[in-house]
Amino acid sequence: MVEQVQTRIMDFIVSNYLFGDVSRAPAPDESLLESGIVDSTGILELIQFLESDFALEVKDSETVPDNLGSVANLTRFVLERSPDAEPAV
Amino acid sequence: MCGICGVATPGPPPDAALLLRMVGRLRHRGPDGSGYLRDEGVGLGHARLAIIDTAGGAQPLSNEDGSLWIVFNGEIFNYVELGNELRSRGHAFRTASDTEVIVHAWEEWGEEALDRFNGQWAFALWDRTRRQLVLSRDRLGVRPLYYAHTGGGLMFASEVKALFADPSVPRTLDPAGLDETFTYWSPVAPRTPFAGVRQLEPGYVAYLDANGFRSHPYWSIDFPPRGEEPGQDARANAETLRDRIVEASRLRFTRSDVPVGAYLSGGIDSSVTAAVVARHTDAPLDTFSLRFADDEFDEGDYQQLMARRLGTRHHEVVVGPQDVAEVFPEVVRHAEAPLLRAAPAPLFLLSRLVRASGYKVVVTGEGADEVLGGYDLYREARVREFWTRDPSSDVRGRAAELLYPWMARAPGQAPAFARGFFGMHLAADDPALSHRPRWTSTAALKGLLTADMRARCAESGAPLDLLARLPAHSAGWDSLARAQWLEMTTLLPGYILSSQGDRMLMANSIEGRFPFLDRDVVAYADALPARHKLSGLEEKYLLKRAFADLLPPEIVRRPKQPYRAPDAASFCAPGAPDWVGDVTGTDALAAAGVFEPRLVQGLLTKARRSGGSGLGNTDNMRVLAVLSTQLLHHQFVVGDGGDDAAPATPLTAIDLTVEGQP
Amino acid sequence: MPSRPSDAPHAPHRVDAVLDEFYALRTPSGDPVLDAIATAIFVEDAFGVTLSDAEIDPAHLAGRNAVRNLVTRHLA
Repeated sequence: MVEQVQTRIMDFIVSNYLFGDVSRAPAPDESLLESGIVDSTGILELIQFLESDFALEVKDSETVPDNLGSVANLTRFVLERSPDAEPAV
Repeated sequence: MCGICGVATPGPPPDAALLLRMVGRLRHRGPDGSGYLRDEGVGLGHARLAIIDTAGGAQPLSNEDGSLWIVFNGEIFNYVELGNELRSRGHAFRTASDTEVIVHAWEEWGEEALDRFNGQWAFALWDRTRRQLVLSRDRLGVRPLYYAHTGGGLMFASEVKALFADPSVPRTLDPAGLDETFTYWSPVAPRTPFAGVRQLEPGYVAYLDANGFRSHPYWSIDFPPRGEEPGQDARANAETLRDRIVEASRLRFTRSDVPVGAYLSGGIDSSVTAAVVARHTDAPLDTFSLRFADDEFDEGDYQQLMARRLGTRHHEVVVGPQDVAEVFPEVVRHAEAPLLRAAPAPLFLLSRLVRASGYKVVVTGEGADEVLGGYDLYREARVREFWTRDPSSDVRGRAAELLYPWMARAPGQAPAFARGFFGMHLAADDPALSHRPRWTSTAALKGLLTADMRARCAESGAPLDLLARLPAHSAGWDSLARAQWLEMTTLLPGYILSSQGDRMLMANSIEGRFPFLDRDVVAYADALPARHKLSGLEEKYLLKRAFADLLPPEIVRRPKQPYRAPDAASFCAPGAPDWVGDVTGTDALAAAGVFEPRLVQGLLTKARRSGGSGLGNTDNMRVLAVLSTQLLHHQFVVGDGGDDAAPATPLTAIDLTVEGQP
Repeated sequence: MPSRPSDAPHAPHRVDAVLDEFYALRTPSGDPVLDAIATAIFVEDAFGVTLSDAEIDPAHLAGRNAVRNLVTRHLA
């Protein structure tokens, strides 16, 4: 489950922000902001992805790096919010 | 305003046909006439836009005894005063032009003449006695000047397309130039996007003679040490600033033999220049504004407010995404550089409107942001500095909400990420603290490069370590001054004055004049205390105080709206023109060898999903970078940049060669 | 014209003049805490001082007198 969710998230990062360039995929703990993969406006695409693909609602107060700042944090966030999470696709 | 070009060659005199071809390439800069000169060792060419002494000021032009010849693009606004002084020193003038003033000033003062010029220029002086070619460019880079060393000689021109009129000049994109563009938004002079082509740095003079080629600055950007600025009183400073801006605007509006109009963007800067200019004429003032079909970009309400207040004859052009896409290839051909924003395109359409309205000259507000503390980047820098004093402080962290007020209130935005983004790379002693966020997010564009191009960039040593060029004593400047230095060295000459400025105006044969870049305005502004430019987070403090009486409160109080145009949305919606697909096809990408085709396809697929709207900043830059660089390659590497036209008539031909003498 | 040290903003008799400048043309945000932060940003830059978290607060920065006292304390 953890792996499924993490893979799904990583696939999104690679396709949406790196245009398929797997060689620059971030390490799970790597900060997406600091690595330059996501800019301050690009984070909104990530929020939309979580809401549509995992049927979550992301509250404004939750849009913080602890929840969304790395692939590992995102995975944890998704699983905490819906422990039975299965990607919608 | 005009276009200049020329050749210096150790061998036989340059070919007249080549000079004519070069001049013809600059016809858009000078549709009113042209001229060339051939001598032993040198050729000069000129395309004329007649503005001062329309009857008499044809070029190339000489001093009394024909020992000094000039081709000149620009205006010396204090030419009347200089001319009077030179006449009193015995110089004889044949014309009423400012061009002739330069020649006599050079005779009288040599290189020190440059300190006395208040204007915008690129010129070439041929000294027949010394057999010496002199090139010079104005202090901040308003006018362009490119050159290339060629087989023992040199070619120079206002635009690269004139250099490429010579088929023996190699045409390739420079990896170092691209690397700097994808860091600093443009190559930093002397670098250009083209290998082997250089540009004379703003504030420089160059000499070519038997001893070779050398160049050095005659002026450089400077600031007083923090706390030692000569004037500390805001009221007195506001008065002096106002006087200087009024004088700068008056000179630029009145010193012309043809009518001068004004741009009105809806912001403070052009509202000030238009208001000042309106006071100096009883004749109606024509103002010109850009409107957007999309409310997100449109500033029409403020423009009309100001136009009504001044009682001007107001002209507007409305621009939509399809208009941007349609003219974009022509825009790139004039910019001669990769573009990270579509913003030059509407300005191309605006200058077209000016030309269609019968005007040749406009006064505009460029420069106020750089010189008087108006950029959002300066405010971000001040907040970053505020954070460096205690990076873990939560209360300090909330300053991000002051930068972008919508962040606190608008749902669905992510304020913590904006805070995180702006709070990266925080080192209190970093001289580039102000610019790191921009340089870092722009450098993300390099992720699209092919492995080969990335390797070539790395080999080239680019990007230039800009901080190595900061004067040593800048450590004593205020931090705002350091940020201004960086901005006045990169974005101002490299993009604002060139791709958005001179190139878009000249594409439609319009001369732009910039009161905020006046020599005496800049000197005064640079010596101001930082808090008179950026007061806390209040931008252009002194400008607002100085002109509060002339501006409607709505315009003084409006939050800064940076000039933006629809970017990716212009090119990625259904119905985009065919050229978009052509330049991003696999063959075109392979031919240029800059961008990795798979990644470009991924980018465009993503962009097209939403019709190009709603993309983040970096993705918008990516789309523009790819399209403009591909167009540049197609036009200037595969093609030779030309749209060959005959030089404008009347044509003046001057032959000083031995064989040409009767 | 060289400036005298007594013209500099941190010279005690200049504090009022510099604060006058700030109050002449600012745009209150409507949020007292954000206004205090905006004032802190100005004060730190104009006077070259560093405030503590406790001082970046409406209690210390909401009125001109309070600001003047805080600045004078820091410059002493």
